[in-house]
This record gives sequence, C-alpha cells and structure tokens, in this order.
Amino acid sequence: MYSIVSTGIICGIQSLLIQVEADVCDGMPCFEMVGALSSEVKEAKERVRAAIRNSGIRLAPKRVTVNLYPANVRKTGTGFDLPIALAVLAAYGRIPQACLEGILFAGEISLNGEILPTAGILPMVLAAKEAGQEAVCIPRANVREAQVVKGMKILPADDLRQVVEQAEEFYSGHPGVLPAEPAEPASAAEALLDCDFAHVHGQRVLKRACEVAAAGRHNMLMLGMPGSGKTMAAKAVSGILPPLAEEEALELAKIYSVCGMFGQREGGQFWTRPFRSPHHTISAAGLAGGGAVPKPGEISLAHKGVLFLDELTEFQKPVLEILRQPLEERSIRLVRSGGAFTYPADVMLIAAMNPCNCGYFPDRKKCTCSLSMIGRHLNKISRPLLDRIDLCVEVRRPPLWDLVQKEPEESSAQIRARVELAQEIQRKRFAQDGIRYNSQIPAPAIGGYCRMDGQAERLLQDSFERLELTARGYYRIVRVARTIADLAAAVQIEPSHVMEALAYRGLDRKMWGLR
Amino acid sequence: MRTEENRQEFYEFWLAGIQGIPGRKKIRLKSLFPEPKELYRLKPAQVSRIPFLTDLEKERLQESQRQPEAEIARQIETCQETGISLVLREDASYPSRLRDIYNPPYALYCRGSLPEDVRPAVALVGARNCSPYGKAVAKSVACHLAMAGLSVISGLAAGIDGAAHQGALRGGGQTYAVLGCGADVCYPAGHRQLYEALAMQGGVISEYPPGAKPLPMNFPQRNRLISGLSDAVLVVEAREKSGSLITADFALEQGKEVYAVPGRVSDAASGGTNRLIRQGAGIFLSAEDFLGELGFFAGKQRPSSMKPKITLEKLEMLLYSCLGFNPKNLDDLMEETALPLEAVLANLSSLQEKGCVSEIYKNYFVRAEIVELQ
Repeated sequence: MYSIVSTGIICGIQSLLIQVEADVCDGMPCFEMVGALSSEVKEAKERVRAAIRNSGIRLAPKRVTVNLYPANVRKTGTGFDLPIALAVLAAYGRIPQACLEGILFAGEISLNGEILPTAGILPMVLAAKEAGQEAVCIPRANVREAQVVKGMKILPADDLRQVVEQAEEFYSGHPGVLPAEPAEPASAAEALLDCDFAHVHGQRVLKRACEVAAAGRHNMLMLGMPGSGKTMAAKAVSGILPPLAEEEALELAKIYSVCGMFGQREGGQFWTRPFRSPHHTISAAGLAGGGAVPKPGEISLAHKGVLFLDELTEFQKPVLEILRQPLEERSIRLVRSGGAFTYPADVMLIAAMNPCNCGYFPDRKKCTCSLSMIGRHLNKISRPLLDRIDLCVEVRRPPLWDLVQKEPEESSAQIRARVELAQEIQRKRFAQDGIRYNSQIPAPAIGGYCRMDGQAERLLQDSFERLELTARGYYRIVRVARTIADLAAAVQIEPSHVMEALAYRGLDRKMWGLR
Repeated sequence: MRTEENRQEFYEFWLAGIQGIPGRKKIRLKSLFPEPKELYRLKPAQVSRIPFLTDLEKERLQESQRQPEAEIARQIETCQETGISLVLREDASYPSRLRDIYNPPYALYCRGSLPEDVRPAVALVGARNCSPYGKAVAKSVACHLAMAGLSVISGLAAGIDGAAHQGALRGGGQTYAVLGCGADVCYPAGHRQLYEALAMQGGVISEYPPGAKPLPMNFPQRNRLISGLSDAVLVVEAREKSGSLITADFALEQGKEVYAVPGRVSDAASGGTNRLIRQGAGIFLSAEDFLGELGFFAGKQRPSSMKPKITLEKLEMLLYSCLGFNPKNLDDLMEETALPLEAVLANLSSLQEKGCVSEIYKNYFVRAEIVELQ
C-alpha cells in the first residue's frame, strides 16, 4: 500500500515543505530510505522501527520503501522521525491515509516512542499555513512556538501511541487542539529590565550618547577603563529602543526557532529587542553564522536589537572584519556548497574597549603605556570598521558621590518615550525613501535631509578645518546632529546640535597624539 | 671621471661616515694622516699597527675601506639634495662648545645652520611620555628663552622635546635638534612639519651619516651633543629611569649647569626631575627667574604682549577656572560647573575660539599655555 505525509525542512530561516512517501509490499523484508538524506535522517530508520515496536504496534515483516521528495534538496534535521513513522503506519493500513491529509507533521522520536522537541518549528508552521494546510502536529514542547502563528490548529504530540490513537479524532473532531493564544505585547513596555538607566548614576554624557544612538540607530563605541559601567550601559540601551513591530518580532522568532532557542523569546520576551553579547573568543562562524548547512550566528540573533562587543580590541581581527558587510546591508549572505543562505542582521552595534592596555589613558598620572603601545592598541581595530561607528563616547569611572547619591535618575521608560518620538519624526521624514533611521542616510542625500542654519554650518566648517575631519567623518557628524535635532524636535540643525555631535565624533587618532 | 676635488670630498665623507670608531679616535687618525686618502688606502698590515685602535675598531676601518664607493656617493648625493652640509672639527663653523668635550664628534652633518657660538644656548629635554603640564611648561619656557635671544637645543622626540622646539619657533628664536639618526631622517615621522620648520629657523644636526637608522644605541651618544651644544640643561619632566637623566649626567661631566622643573611628588612623570633636585640641580621657578640665574634678563618683551588681552564671559570664566593643566573631560566639567551639557559645549567652543582652552584628546580639555586674561 502507498501513503504520503507532509513535513518541512529549514532553509535559512524559511521552511520548505517535504513529502514523505511510504510503500509497503511483499518481498524480502527490509526497510529502505531514499531521497538525498543526510546521516541524521538515515538514522531515523532505526529510531522509527524501535519506536513503533515499543509503542506496542506489531508490524508484519514486509518490504518497506520510504522516499522523501523533492529529491534534489538535501534533507537535514531531526524532525523527520514522526512523519516517517506515520507514513509507514499508514502504508501498513494502521492509520487511514485520509487522517493525515492537510496536516504537517514534525518531531523527533526516541526509542520508547516519546516525541522530542525539534528546532525550526515556527518557519515550518508558517510554510504550512502558506501552503494552505489546516493543522500541524508537533512535539508538545514546541507548542508555544507554533502558537505565534495565528489561525493554525495545533495538535500537540506526546508519544507515538497517542498520535496513532488520536489520529482519527484529530481528523474528525479535533479534540486535542489548543486554541492559539497570542503572546501579550503589553508586558514588554513595563517589564523592568534588569538593566535600567534608573540604576546608572551620574555618567550624564554616556547616558545622553546612548539616547542619541538609540534614537538614530547609530552604532556606538564606548571607551573607558574597566569597571566604568560600559556593559551596564550597553544592556540598558536595548531597553530604550521601542518594542518590536509584529513583523519584526515574527522574523526574530523565526531566527531563534531555527537555532532551537525559541525559549528565549517566549511570552513577554517576544516583543523585546534582543541583546547579544558574545565573548571575544568567538569564531567567525559563531558571529556570522556557519556550518555546512549554516545556522544563524550572533549577528542574526541580535537582529533588530543590540549586538554588544565588549573588549573590542581582543576580538580576532578577521572576525571583526566580517561585520563590515552586514552593517551596511543589514543582512548577511552565506554561501556554502549546499546553496546560498541569507540571514537578517539588522543590528545596532555597540562596542566597548579600554583606551589603552592599562585602561587609564589619557590620565597620564596613572597610565603607564607609551604612545606607540597605545597606537598598537588602537590599531587592532580597522579603519573601515571604525568608519561604520557614528558615535564614540568616553566613559569615566564614576566618582563615589555619584554612586551613593539618592536622587532618582531618569528611568529607561522616560528615555524610551523621547526615543520613540524622535524615531517617529524619522519615520515620517523617510516614509518614501526605503530607509528608516538617520544613521542610514546615504551621503548624497545628506544635504537634502539635514538642513542647517547658517551659524551651524559655519561652526561645522570651522571644526572641519580645526579637527582635520575626513569626508566620512563629516557626514557622520551631520547624521548624528540630525538625530540630536530630532530629539529636540527641531526642523533645522542648530549650532548646539552640531556642538554636541562633535563631542561624540568618532575615535580620531590625531586627537590622541598619534598618527 | 671624478675631479680631484670630488675625490677629496669623497674621502672626507668616507672618514666621517665610518661607524663604530669614536670621534676622538677619528681625530687622532686625522692628525696621523692629514690626508684621508692615505688612510683610505692603508694596507691591512698597516692598519693593524695603529696603536690606539681596538681590534674591533680596526676591523670596522677595514670593512669601511672595502665598502662600495656607490654607498659614499649616495650619501654625498643625499646631502646635496636635502641641503645637508658636512662640518669637520677643523672647520671654523664647527661649534666651539663641542670642540673640547670628551669624545667630540669628528664631523657634524647639519641641515639648516649650527648654533652660533656667541649666542647663549639652553637645552630643554624631557620625557616623550609626558603630561600636558610638562608640555605646556616646555612650550612656554622655550618661547620665553627664544624671545630673550637664546638658542633652544633639543632632540626632536615626541613629548617635551617637540614642545620645546615648537615653543622656540613660536617665540621667533633659533632652535636646534640633535638627532640619533641621519640628518635626512625625520624621527619620529610624526614630526615632519616641525623638522622642516627647524631647517628654516635653526637646524637639524647629527653625527651620523645620511640614511643612518635611529638605533637605540645612538640616543645616549646623541644626548652628549645636546648637553655639549648648550650652556645649561633644563630637564622638564623625566621618570626615575629616563634618557633625559643621561643628558643631565653628560651636562655635569661637561661642566654645564643642570636645572630641573619640580613636579608633584606623586607624579611618576616628575620622579626623575625631583631626584635631580634632591641631588643638587637648580630649581626652575619661572622663565624670568631662570634667565636671571643664567645671567640674562628677560627683557621687556613678554609673550603676552604679542596677543591682545582676552575678556571672558561669566560662564566662560566659570569653565576656565575649572580647567588646569590636568585634562578634564566633559563629565568632570559638567559636575564641577553644574551646567548642562549644552552650555558646557557652547562655552568650551567659544573658549577654544579665543585660544584659552585646547582639546588635547577627544573631549579632554586643558588650559592653553600662554594666555593673558584681562
């Protein structure tokens, strides 16, 4: 007899539907599987046989052939166990084929028949919905992930025997279906944040720089000695970014689903912006994504959120250089022999580093580094990467009286309100132009978007000469000034905005007495 | 075909350019062989009979005899192209202060001019890794000395040396750099502008042939020339172990006065200068006092009279009074003045325009060196 069951595999963060066919006929008893299978899918044969037997189902020895098509796609992943088992059982006539129609099955099976969670459920459910299927049968542990998709029936699977027994019920009456309950977006706004700016005392320049960076989605570099609060500030930045839009949240959930990390985006987490802080020993594949069938890397896990690189100078240089293209294009394209995969990577980069090896520069009373040592230290970061960082701010170790003062500080929620207003202004301004934030204004369009009054223009010209700015540096300052003006709801850029932007200008070596 | 005169020049450059034989021995060689040509053609057997040369020095001499002529020709060419002149000890223009020090250089390569014998000269030396305070002091002292008509000698290094040259240039005086590399090599490369300015308004001096690299072993030897060319040495900032203290030692050996700028006892950058004072060096108090100590009068002209007096607004004054020679950043200033960021930035910007404040690192501000307030 013949049967067919549909399932899905993951390609990038999309899912592709796969059909599992099984045929049972007389002949020499054997179990044959074909269809461009990777080793973990081939192993499914053993798991399925044992699981069926241990679920108390006796099958007569017959010739079983299983095919997965389309055959030109390499099948990877562990979600095939359940569809294969069901296809085989249907081919033996133990389940009516009609019960399997219109349902997508996915799940790993252990030898005792238990259904185990698997990665990438969310994109599969989305693909099933797009293909017009009505329901998905997935491991119970993955149910919350599938609930993100509205309008799909979800059939939670605990073990193989239960699935077989309930198959017909599923088909007729759906007794086991869980209603899709949407995650509450409201929780995000109030969820206080272990790192709130209300807990950061003093550091007024740093806080203001964070606000500006968040408002215009500018990449930011923090320089300061160890223990000056750089990490805390970076964590707090993700909290002053506006909550995710639905589309963005869904895209992010897909990325985490593919990585089997959906647990990190459940419930209230679903609407918050991610904050990723990889250790500086991270490899190129870890940051960009990698593997023969690439998995998203840290840069994609930080999509729409903050990628925080602490101790920037300690990262391996080739690893840092990877960031250049995604920072421009807001996505990363990985090409492997198995095909090209594009992962979204729209991150706000926040980097932190010590100003020199000992961390005390420019306090020459304490710093023991020679100028050439400082030069070498700064040289660890390439110019092209620095060129993509709009804001640079020095973080000073807070004095004691800042730490012990009892005056309440502004909370992240208050700052976020201002950031949201500034982003709203930007959204209106760029409505027609395919960009979203001031940091994305292309150089030729700067004159049009960033109008200045005469005094501001003169001030900028003077500074251009005095600070020996480059063209790139000049544009960066104008973009930041535009964001500062947006925060002040000013139509034109005024001198005070330019002055402030100049104070955040990028790390320039000349200012450090270096060439 | 080379003319006879050319050949003469060739031999002079050859002898001057031999490295590894100290100047005093070259001078003895010259008195043995008044014509360097003879020395050039000396047979190995004869070389080995020169009594005052060590084995190593004899080897060096023979090596240089075998050296390709093109190398010397290249040196001569470089000198012509870059305007470097070779001054031998027997020449009249050779600085008389150097003539009688222990181990005087056999020859000096000089771009620009050499310090005049009649004009008093002071060496300003100090750490490369200096504080903004040290830099400001060096600049201002050099400026005063230059205006009083003194030559300022230093070593073109980063930090104090560079500031001393800059100050002297600003004061409109003559300033001379003694290098530890060829006079055509600008070391550190970052001082290219200063190097060119020195060639116009003073000179760049070296005892090493053109193209010589700045080897670490050259610098202590270079320091003996810095002290040798001056009448007094002022150490502005030096750590406990510092090349500037070598200069001070040479100065004492050569019978020159040594002065030191006192620093706070807790500043590592002043450890060496404070120790010099403990050992009996002169204490620097002010440029006028220093000039008086040396026996000169500062004259009536003061640097401030070059610039109009500056008036500051109330807030500017508030900020200015918070600043000193230790750099302060925006956070410090906001805290001390209790002004919002915007006001601090606006006033700093106008203070910078008036030349009262300079930004030494990004967002770190100090008082500008020489400002007279009304």
